[in-house]
Amino acid sequence: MTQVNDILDWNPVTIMALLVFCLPLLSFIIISISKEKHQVLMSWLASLTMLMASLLSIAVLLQAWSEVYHTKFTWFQWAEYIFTMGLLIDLPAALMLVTVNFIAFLVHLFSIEYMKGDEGYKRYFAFLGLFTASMIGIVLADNLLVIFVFWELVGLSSYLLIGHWFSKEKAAKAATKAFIVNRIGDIGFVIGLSIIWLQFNTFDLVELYSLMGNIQVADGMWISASGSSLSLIWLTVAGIALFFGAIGKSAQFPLQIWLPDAMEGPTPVSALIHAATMVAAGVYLVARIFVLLNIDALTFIAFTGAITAMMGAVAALTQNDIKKVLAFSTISQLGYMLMGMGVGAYDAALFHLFTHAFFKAGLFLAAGSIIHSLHLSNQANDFDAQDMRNMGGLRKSVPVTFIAYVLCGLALMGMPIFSGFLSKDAILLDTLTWANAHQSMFFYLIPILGFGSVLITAVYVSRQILLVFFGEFKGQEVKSIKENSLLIKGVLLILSIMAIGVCWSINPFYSEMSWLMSHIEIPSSAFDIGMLSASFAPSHLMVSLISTSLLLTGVVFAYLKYRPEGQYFRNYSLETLKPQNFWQSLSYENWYLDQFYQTVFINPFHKITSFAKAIDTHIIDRMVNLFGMGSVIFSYIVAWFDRAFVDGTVNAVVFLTGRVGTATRSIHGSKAQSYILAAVIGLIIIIFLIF
Amino acid sequence: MTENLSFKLHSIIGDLSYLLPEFILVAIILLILLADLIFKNQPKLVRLIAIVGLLFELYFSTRQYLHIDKSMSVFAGMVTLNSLTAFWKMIFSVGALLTILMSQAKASRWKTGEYHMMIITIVLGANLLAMSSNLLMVYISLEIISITSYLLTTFSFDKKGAEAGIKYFLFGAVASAIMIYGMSLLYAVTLTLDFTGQQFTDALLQANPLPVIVGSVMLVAGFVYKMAAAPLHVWSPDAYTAAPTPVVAFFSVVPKLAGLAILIKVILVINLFGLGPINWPTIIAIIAMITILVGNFSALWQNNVKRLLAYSSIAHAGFLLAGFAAFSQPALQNVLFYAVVYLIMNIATFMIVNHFENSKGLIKVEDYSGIAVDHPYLTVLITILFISLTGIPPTGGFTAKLLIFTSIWESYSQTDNQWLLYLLVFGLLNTVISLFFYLKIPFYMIFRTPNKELGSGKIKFGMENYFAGILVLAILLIFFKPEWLMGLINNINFAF
Amino acid sequence: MQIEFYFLISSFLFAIGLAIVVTRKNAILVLMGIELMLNAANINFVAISQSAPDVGAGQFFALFVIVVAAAEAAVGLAIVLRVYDYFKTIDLDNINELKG
Repeated sequence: MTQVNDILDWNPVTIMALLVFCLPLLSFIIISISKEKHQVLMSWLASLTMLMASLLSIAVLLQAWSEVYHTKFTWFQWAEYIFTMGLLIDLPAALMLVTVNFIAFLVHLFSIEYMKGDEGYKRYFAFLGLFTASMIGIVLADNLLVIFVFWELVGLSSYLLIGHWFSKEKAAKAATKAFIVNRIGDIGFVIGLSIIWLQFNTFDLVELYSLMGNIQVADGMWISASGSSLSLIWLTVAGIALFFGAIGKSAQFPLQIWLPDAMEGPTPVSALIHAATMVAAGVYLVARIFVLLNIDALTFIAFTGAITAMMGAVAALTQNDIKKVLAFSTISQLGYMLMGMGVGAYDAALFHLFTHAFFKAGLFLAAGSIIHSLHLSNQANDFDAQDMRNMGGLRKSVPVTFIAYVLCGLALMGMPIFSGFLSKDAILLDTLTWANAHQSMFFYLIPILGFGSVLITAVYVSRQILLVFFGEFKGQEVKSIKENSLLIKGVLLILSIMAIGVCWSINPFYSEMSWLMSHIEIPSSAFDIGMLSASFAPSHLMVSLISTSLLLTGVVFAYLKYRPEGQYFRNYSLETLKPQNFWQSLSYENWYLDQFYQTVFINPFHKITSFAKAIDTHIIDRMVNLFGMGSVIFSYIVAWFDRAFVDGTVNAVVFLTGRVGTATRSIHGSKAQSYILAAVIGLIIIIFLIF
Repeated sequence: MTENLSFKLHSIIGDLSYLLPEFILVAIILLILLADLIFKNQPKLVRLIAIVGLLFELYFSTRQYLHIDKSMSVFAGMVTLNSLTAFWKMIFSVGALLTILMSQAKASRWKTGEYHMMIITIVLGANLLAMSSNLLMVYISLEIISITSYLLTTFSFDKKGAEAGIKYFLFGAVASAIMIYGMSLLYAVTLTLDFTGQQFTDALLQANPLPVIVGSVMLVAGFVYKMAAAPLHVWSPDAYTAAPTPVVAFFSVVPKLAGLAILIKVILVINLFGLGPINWPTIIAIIAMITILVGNFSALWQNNVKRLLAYSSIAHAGFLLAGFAAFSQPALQNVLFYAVVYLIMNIATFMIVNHFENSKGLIKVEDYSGIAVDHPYLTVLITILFISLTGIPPTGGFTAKLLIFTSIWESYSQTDNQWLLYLLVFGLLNTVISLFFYLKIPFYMIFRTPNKELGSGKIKFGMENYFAGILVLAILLIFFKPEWLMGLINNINFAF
Repeated sequence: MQIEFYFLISSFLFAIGLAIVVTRKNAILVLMGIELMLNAANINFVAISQSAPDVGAGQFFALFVIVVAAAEAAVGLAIVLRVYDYFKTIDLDNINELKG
């Protein structure tokens, strides 16, 4: 415990970062207290704040390029333990800071147009500010406990924003679902925190990094430098438990069910929270605690990620809601990143996080732009503007959106020249290396799932582009659909430029040349992950060729199946299209996970609660009833003796009926007395328990 | 004999100064009686007397807390005074003060004098109960609280109030009869009433286990009833539904915590350092689990807000007991911490509920639909309070629950008592379950459309809402600076 | 007389009192049952005080119980009167409007 709780002073960089954190918070407070009539002005002000925050965070990034800045101060003291909090700015944190702020800025701009005239306009922008601030909190915090606090705050603001249109039953339900599912993940987070505390007595990340460097593993025990030892299994449990928090937030298997429902929120929110930033917080968390994870935990992460990547991609194949396709694709891409983390491709996974943040935000905002256009042209609001069965042929009416969508979509597929190619190939390369290092064929499952997902991704992205933009418009007769205003177009253009590979790497075919990835260092861990890459390094070219050919196969297949002249396209309408076979239903219903949880967890829980309620309200009555029945029988016998010998049977029957009535009534009705009886019985039970 | 008597009298007179806070309470009671007789219908005067008097009492209790560093046996061994009891006394007076501040709106309609008098009588009873070290004293101070509580329950002066009153009365009378029967059994075994003395402990250690078990369980039943913990909790939902809201707030805090104080004190003695026939940590753990279960699961189905809070307070009694089940000094500190946090958050919640009930007549959960539109400030407050009652950061409720669970875990790792592990897991699970009913009200407030019939429009913003705001700040502050409150508690000398 | 007999009597009295409390429906009779329970404890206290070192304690306890019980009964009867005003009965069966 020596030197554990040094106080580190503020320096210009951390102060700047603190300012970045305070700006959106300020925006939240100002908007909350401002008057309704100033709301448009306020939203512009909020965007301006975000612009300032983005510029500041770029400045922070330039400073943090090659150096780590850390500031911490005492939070509170508990017995001999000192809890600190502070800011830790390393390269990933600074990059994340820029990404969050920049996308938040673009989403703010986009929302000004998109949310125009909405009832909750003011509330919406206030919560956006709250969300951004808490997200920045996660990014900057140097302490797992503080991260947990912001983690919860992020969950809360996500809940509030999903439920923005709370008068819609579905939106309110989706918000609750997201909240509850995330809490399930949080249980894991809390368990992980407790184990970490038990072993190290600190939550500070930098402390943990150095403490983990000094641990020893001997005889299946996990011994920290201070001498505290636990069974080695707890280290794995801690890693997996913390990762469980990430499973909840990043919508990984088996908790991915909340994300598709979360699409009930406004589309810019989906872009910011449920595509680019919040859901990536899980990946970011894994990156922050990377050194705490041992090989077992990492393998677990890799498999979870790979399975989710595959499941998400398959589920995206048959969705009809334009946003749900993107939601499932997000789940799949997050699975990719975690798979990367799990195989030790720390740098590649983070790289994919950043590229994904931009092109996925672009896709969501483009979808938002389409939805907005359809809404505007259809004031009566008599069809679902998110359903792809009401679209088709939109490339002529919304050309800018079309271009943005295609560019970002190609990046999502991983087409060479585009940003997705660089990061995705880096991950795939490392999965192959990793699988090679293991002796068992079993581990090849991960690269196979990874390459398989590439194929499926290409299919569903092409399907969506074909169904939305090509062919003829399928919705009801509407006035002409028009492209949105300059504001929306501008935002889309910026994001689609970011989808092009040159922005990320000088040579858009070779991820090792990326200015970004080459700078991220894999943190040195007590567990030698580096040894894995030693034995065999698959050629980069080979990986690129495989993935590109898979991709092209997917595109060609999708074109053949979904082309505007094809049968699928012609039949694709609200009336006819239902999942036709088992496989389609499996995909459409997201592997029946919701139904599974409903039958396995929710229904029994309802039964248990109603059972408990029944016990609480009825057990007293039951007990009293039994007691009453006993005394009825008793009085029956007494009466029988009484009357059988004195009077005739006729009298006895008359008396009996009266007696029975009074006996049951005197015991049964009165609550006050049954309370007392129940309490006394309880006491007697306790006395017998002790014996 | 005469010398002995005069010696006793002298020692009693000499000890009078140690009971200064209690004398002040008696003086307030008499003053209020007089004031009510002489100046009729002067609610403001009565309130003034009550508040000023309680502040004085608080001041002197605080002095006792600061200056008494060892346990002192006062009044011929009837009561013991130490910094722990002084701290309990401070909690009780703060609770009473806040209750009186909250009852402003309704006070004019009631018999103000009697109302305030009874509140202060209960504080007197609670103070004496926390200090008692003699079974007779325990009985008398418990009855002071009980008899006054029966009357306060009927203070809404309607049919429901009368019904709740008689139920509460009958239940309470039986409970106290059971308790003194238990006392008589313990007296039979030990031949002394002074339960802090050496003779009591020695006799218990040598006695036949059967009368000790029956007697202790019956005795403890009396305290469990006062705490409204299972299995003697059944009276509380009815009494809480029918009684006036400020009275409910008061009931859910002061008598409950007084019951806890004496329960801790007595059980630490009859536990006999773990050598007795009863494994009290296990019994307390089981009682705590049942209490938490009954409280939470019954609350899940309540529509009436006051009834919901009644069950919630039952569950909190369970958590307080759970902390005590760890049986260690840090655990007792954590129970005190929880008690303070519970006092603040519970009274603040009732303040707001009372405000809504008085000004808009909101009783059921559905009535709260869409309140957020008209009352954003109160909605924020109540949301924070419910978050705190659930035990989620960033509120004091979280810190308190965390500490309780920590002490249970530590005790488990030291003693290997399986029940403590079950208790821990069970408590954690229940925290999740409680989320569902606590968040129901904020959910209705924020996400449901307003009820047309009740009519919207702003309502008067009462003084008590400022107090509620201050209490909410305190709850948040306790999360961020728990060491301030912990510092107060650390000063307490836990020598029994 | 052996002290066990006192214990026997008191426990019978206690049990009878409890039975009355649980079964009789008239509120006044229930109050009487409670009195029986209290007096059962009183018998114990007085009986034991004979063998205790401090003879006064047990007897004083019994006196206090009687006094407090009187106060309790007074309050109880007042509440019963209230109930009678509203319900026009003191039959506990019929005083049952609050829902569990």
